[in-house]
Amino acid sequence: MASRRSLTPTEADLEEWIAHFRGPLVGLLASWGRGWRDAEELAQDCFAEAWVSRASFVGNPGSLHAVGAWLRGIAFRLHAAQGRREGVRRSASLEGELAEGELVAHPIATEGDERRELLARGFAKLSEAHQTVLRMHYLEESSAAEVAALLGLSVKAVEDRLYQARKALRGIVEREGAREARGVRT
Amino acid sequence: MKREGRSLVPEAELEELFRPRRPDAAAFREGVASRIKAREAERETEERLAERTARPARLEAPRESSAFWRKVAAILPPDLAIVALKAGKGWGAAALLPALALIAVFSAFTASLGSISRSTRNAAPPRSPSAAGGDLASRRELRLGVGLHFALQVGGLAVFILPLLFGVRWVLELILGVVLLSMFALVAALRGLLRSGQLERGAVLRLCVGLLYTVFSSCFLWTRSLRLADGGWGSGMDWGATVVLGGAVALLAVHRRSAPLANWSLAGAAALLVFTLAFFPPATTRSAPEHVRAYVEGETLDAGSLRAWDEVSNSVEALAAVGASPARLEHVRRELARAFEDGVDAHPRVWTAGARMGLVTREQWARLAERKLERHRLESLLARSGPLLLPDYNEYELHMLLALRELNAEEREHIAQRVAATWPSESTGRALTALAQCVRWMDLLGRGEWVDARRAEAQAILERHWVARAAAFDRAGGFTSDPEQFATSFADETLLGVELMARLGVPEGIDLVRLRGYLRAESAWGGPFREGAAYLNATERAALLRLERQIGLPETSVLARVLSERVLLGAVLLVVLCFVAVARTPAWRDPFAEAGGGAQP
Repeated sequence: MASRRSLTPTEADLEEWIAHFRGPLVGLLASWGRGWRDAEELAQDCFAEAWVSRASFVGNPGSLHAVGAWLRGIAFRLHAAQGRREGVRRSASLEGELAEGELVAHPIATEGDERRELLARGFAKLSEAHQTVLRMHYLEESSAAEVAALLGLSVKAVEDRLYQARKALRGIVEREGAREARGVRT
Repeated sequence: MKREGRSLVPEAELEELFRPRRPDAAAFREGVASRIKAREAERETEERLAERTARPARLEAPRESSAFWRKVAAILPPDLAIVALKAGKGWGAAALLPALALIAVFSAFTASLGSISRSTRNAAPPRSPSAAGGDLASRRELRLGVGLHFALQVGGLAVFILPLLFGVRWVLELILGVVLLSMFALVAALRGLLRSGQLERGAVLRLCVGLLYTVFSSCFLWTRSLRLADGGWGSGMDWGATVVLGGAVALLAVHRRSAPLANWSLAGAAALLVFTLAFFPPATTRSAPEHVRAYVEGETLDAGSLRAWDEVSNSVEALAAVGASPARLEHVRRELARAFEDGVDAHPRVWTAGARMGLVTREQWARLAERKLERHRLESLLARSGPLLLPDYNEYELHMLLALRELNAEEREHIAQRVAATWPSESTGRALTALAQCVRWMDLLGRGEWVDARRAEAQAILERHWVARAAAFDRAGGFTSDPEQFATSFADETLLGVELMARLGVPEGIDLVRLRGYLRAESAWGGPFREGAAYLNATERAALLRLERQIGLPETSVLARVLSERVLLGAVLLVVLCFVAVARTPAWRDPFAEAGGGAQP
C-alpha cells in the first residue's frame, strides 16, 4: 500500500484491504474469543461494513496504519454488538451456557500427527498476547506491518512479540516433549 | 525477524499448524460481496420506509381510564375525547387544561370577530376626537373595558408572580388566560367607543397597540428572560413574543397616518422589536450536523486550558454517533501533538477528550506514560484493587493502558472487577455520572454484555435522575446530577442521560418530547451578540442532535402538536383580531377640512 493523498476508497482499495488484512483480522477476531468459522464470518462483516460506510473514512485508503486502525474499530464494534446479541440469546435460552472451549479458537491438531498435536497443546499454554500475534501472523503468513497496523503497535513491537512467542512455544513444546518421553502427560 | 535461531519454533511448522484454519480467499471475497449487497439492499429498503413513514411511536402499556374520564370522553369531539381518556392516566392534567384553554381562546376569537364586525358595521360617522370626551366614563361598556384592562394588568402580574409561588407548570395557561382577557377587553372597549361616538381608526389603533404592548411585557418579556415558563412543551413562547411585538410594529406601520405621533410609536416599537430579536431570537437550535461540525471546526483549543475540550469531544462523538460526516480535526490534532511534544502539564480532561475523539496515537500515549505520575497511574490501575475511585475525566488512563499493553484475560478481568465494584446503586451520589463512566469503561474492556445484563438497574437510575417538574428558575425535562439536592436539569448530565438511553434503551417514565423541549430551549441560537460563546451551548446541542437522530422521537398526534404551540396560536389570534378591528374601523376625517371651509355665498 503506497502512501497516497486522502481519497474516497475505491473497489481496488477494498481488494487491497482484503488482501492485506483478511488473515490478521480473522486471527484478531479469533483471539477475542470467536471460533474460527465465526471469526471468518465476522471478518467478512467488517469488510462489508467498511465498504458500506466508506464515506465516513477520513484517512488515506492506501495507508496500512489508517486502514488497520479503522478496521480494528469496526471489528471491535461488531464483535461487541454480536457479543451482546449472543448474551441476550444465551440469557434467554434455557439450554444455557456454551462449553468454555467452544468459544476459544485454537489451531486443530490432526489425529496421528503428534508433532502438530504437541504444538497445538503448547500454543494453548501461551499468553494471550503471544497467541494473538501468532494467529494473526501465521494464519495467512501476513507481514508484521499488517499485524502491527491492526493491533495499533509498531512493527518492531510485533516482531519482538513474534520472536518471544516462538521462543516461548519452543520452550513449552520441548518441556512437553520431554515429559511425554518420560511417560507423563498433562 | 533477524533473530531466527535454534531456540525458536520453525516458521514452517507454525504455518502448517494454522493451514487448516486458513480462509479460502475466493469464498471469503464472495462472502464479503454478498454481505455488501445485502447491506445496500437493506439500506435502500430502510430509506424507502423512512420516506413513507415517520418513526414508530413507543409502545405504551394500556392502562385503564377512570369511569369519570370515560363519561367525559363520551360527550366530547373525537380528538378531545382522546385527551379526556388520557386524563385518567396522569397525562390528562397536563393535556386537558391546555386543550380547554385553547378552545376558550378560539371561541373568544370567533365571538370577538363577530362583535367587531357588528360594531363597525353599525358605527355612526365619528365625531371629532375632542368633541365628546366628557361622557365617555358614563358608558357601561367603557367601564367594562377599563375593568378588563385592569384585570389584564393583574393577569400579567400573576404570570410573573404565580410561578414563583407555585411552580412553572401552568404558566402557558396563565398566558392564554391573559390573551383571552385582552380579547374581551378589546371588544368591550370597541363597544364603548362605538356608543360614545368615538369609534375611529386612530383611537382603535392606539388601543390595539397598547394592548399588544401590555401582553408582550406582562406575558413574554419577563417569562422569557427569567425562564419562568416551562419550555418543555414547544417553542411557542419564543415565536409568540415575536408575533405580538411584530404585530404591534406592523399595525403602526400600516396605519401610521391614522393616529397622531404614530411615527414615533412606530420607531419605538421597531427598536424594541430589533432589541428583542437580537437578544432573544425565536428558537433556532443550531443543532443540525452542519452547525455542530462548523462549531467543532471553528473552536480554538488550548491544551493549557480546560475551555471547550469537553464540548468539542462531545460534539465529535455526537456526529459519529448519528453517522454524520465527521468534522475536520486537524487543529485539534495539532494542539494535542504540541501538548505531547512540549510536555504540557494538561488537565486529564484534555487527554480524555483527545482519546474520545480518537486523535491520540500510540507513540503519544507512550510519550505521556514516560512521565512519572502517568506511569504511576497506569501501574495503579492493575496493581490496586477495589472500586475505581477516579473522576470521569481520568478515562484516558484506560485508553492509554489499552494502547500500550496487550492486556491478558486476567488483567482485563481485574480491571473489569474494579469497574464492576464502582457500579452505582440508585442511592449513590452522582449516580448518573458513575453509571456513564462504568458503561464506557466496560465497553472499552469489551464487556458490553455485563452492562446489558444490568439494563434494568441502569434504566431505574436514569428515570430517577430525570426532572419531570421544576420550580421557577429551574429547568424541567433534562437530567439532574443529584435528584435529592437539585430539582433542575444540567447540560452535562442531560448529555450523559441521552448517551445512556441510546446505549441502554429509553425507560418508560421518561418523556422524550419533553426532553427535546428542554434541549431545544437550551440549544437556541443566542443571536449575534451572544453566539460568540457557542461552546456554552455545545453540550446541549450535541445532546439534542443525538436525541433526534440517534434515539428518535415518538410520533406525536396533530392535537399534541397544536397543544404544544398553543401560546403561539393564541398570540397569532390576538394579533389578527387587532388587525381586523383597526382595518374595519372607519378613519376620522375633519368635516370642515373636507368641506373646504364651508359653503360660499
